[in-house]
Amino acid sequence: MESGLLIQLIEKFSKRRGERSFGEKLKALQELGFFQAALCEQGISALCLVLQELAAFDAALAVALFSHWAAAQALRLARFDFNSESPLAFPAFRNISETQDLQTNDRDGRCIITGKVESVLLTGQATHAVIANFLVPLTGGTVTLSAPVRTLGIRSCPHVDISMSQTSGVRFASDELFDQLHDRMALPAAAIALGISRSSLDEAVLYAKTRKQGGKEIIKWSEVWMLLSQMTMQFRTGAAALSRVCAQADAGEAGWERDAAATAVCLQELACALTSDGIQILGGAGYTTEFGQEKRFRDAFHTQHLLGLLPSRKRRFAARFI
Amino acid sequence: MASFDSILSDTLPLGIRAAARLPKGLLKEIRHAAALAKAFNEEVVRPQALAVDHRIMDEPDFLPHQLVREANERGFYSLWLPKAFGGGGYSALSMLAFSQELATECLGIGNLIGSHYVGVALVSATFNFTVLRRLCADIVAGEKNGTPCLVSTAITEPDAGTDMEDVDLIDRGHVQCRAEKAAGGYRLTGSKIFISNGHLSSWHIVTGYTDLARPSESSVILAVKTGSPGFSLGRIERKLGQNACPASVLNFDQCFVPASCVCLEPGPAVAGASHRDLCAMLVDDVLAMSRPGVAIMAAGAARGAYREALRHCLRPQPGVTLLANHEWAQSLLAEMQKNIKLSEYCAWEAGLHMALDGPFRMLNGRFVFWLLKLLPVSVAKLFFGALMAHPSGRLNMVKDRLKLKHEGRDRSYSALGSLAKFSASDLAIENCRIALRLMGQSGFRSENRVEKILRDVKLLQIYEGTNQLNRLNLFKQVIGHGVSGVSVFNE
Repeated sequence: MESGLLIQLIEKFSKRRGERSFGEKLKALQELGFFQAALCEQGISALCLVLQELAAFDAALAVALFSHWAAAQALRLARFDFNSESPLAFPAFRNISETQDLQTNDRDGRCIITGKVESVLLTGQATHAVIANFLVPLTGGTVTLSAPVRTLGIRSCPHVDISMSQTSGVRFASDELFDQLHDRMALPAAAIALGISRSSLDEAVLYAKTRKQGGKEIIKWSEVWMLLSQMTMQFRTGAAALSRVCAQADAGEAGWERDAAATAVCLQELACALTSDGIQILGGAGYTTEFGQEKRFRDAFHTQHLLGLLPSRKRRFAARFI
Repeated sequence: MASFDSILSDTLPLGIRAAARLPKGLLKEIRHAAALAKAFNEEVVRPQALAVDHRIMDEPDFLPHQLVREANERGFYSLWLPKAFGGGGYSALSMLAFSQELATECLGIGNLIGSHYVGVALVSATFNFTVLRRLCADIVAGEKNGTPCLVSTAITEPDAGTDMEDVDLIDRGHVQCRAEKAAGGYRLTGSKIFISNGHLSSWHIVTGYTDLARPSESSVILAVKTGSPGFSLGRIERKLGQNACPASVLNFDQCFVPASCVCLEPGPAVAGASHRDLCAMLVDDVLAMSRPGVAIMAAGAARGAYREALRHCLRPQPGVTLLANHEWAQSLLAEMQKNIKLSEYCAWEAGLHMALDGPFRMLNGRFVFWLLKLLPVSVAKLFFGALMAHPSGRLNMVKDRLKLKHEGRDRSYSALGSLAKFSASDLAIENCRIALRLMGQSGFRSENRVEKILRDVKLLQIYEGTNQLNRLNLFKQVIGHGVSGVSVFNE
């Protein structure tokens, strides 16, 4: 599938306003082909564009797609032949390489796994999960899924705890996979942060142009336009960085992995600050669910953990690139 | 003159100077207030806060009556009312300690109690002790008969939010709550929004305006009782956090308010001060009283975030070095402690300034403090109650308040209140941010509490004036004051 086609798809999706619930929207994405394994073959720029657009619309949808793509990408990078009709479950907020809480025992080409993995994103009717370098079936008596846990953000996408007891899975790749997957998914994670930031900024600007205080539109107060300028400049800088590093990655330029890791962490941190300011521009209105700012704030703080603990990622960055 | 500049240039912080001036018994009272909150936290708040938060997310119109009753049974709605009016007579300073402790567990529940006292403070700042006595009587009776009587403050309107926080802005705003003079009182028509505890309160202290084109000169402050004809409760806002404390819409449709419930109305100058001047002082005083409260709650919430982060860092995980043993994590935990301490210092400085230099400073003088402590309630009621409710009592209070204005002391405590509020709330957000980063995906799970603290804390940057407005108030009150060619809100 060409990148242009992907962009057309997202445009089609954004025009479909009939679907109301998260499930319906997810189904629409599936019908449009966003969960096809072949999409993972696309260039990073195209994937990022899709995720940014989706995150600006609803970050939970973007995260659902991200987690499926990350799982599918892991299988693809390992050249593991597995084609599922259903989305794949994936612990997108956990360090990809984290396995210390799992007991594993390789036996006859299978791997027997026992342990608990928290906050796995269960997208749609997932039948399998990718956990670190294991492919785990979610059906059968050895796997227990918790009820969805309450979370700060991305609330419509269920987060469940998976408990495995002597579950027969497959070790589909060696530990070398982890760095590759990190590299490949860093920019998509950054794109989600940027999408959330963009929609927060858009709403703040719109509100500032219409809401009056002190007898004039609040955008005319210099403290407000100064804050909006700051937000816009931060967003533009982030967008430029993401675009540049995506191009580097697609061209296979040396060092793109380093820049991708750095861009992801910076944009995820930026989204937290920017969405907080986004509420501030709206004042009390921004704190209510009547506007989208409070959701974006929650989603930004939540999705900063995509690909794992930020300090751990900085440590990993130092170890690999400095 | 105790201007802000002189406070800044004084090498002694107010806390040190206050130590020499405050009665020793006050320290005991402050400790007792903190202990009360701690026990309430352990027995009620921590076991219930998350469940209440979740329930309101699922059922947005649910009201936490049980929590309000628990606080009522413990006397929390009258402890800080004047002893002369049947209250516990506790100092506003001890409320800082109480609020901070409560906020370590739940800001929403803290606000269930704190915002009640903002309503009381608003009536107190009008120096209308007749209305205050009536409110206090209802609150105290409500504690005795088990029916909580809370007070809300209704100022913000749909098209006037920040405008209501400063008299210099209000005339340019778009206020719509009209108070028309009628035989024997006023008729109130309009709506108020974002009213903390609106659906839980029995009394609402409402601002209306006889002339919507000139609100600063025509403000009327009315005490409206729930159930009054023409008064109705509107929707409860769906919001990010502080769910335990409902933010209500109040509607008034020709609601009649009798003269006995009029706290302040336009009239001739009092002791040389115009009605506008009196209103400006009142707005400044109420905000200067409430902002240190917001700051100390921020310090409490920052401590709550720290506590949960530390707990996470000390939790052993198989095969992994304890998080607390990583230097980078130690540094972040130290940063969180710094934020807590800085917030506490700011809030207490602002609170002490208000206690020592504010309009009710006499209550913190040694003589009056001990007199009120030692006098039997019946004698206090008879003596001070009568004195305060007498018309000359109000006149003397206004004169004393004007003295603060002439000396510039009101600008100092207003500025310090703003400084404390915006500093502490920003630092509390910072602590939540650090906690979430230390905790990773554990942090965003509701059961680990930090995500709720973040959602709750965000409101502290908004209410009692956004932090942006508070920065401007700091500039207006002290930095730009009296400087030739400098003005505020006039660009």
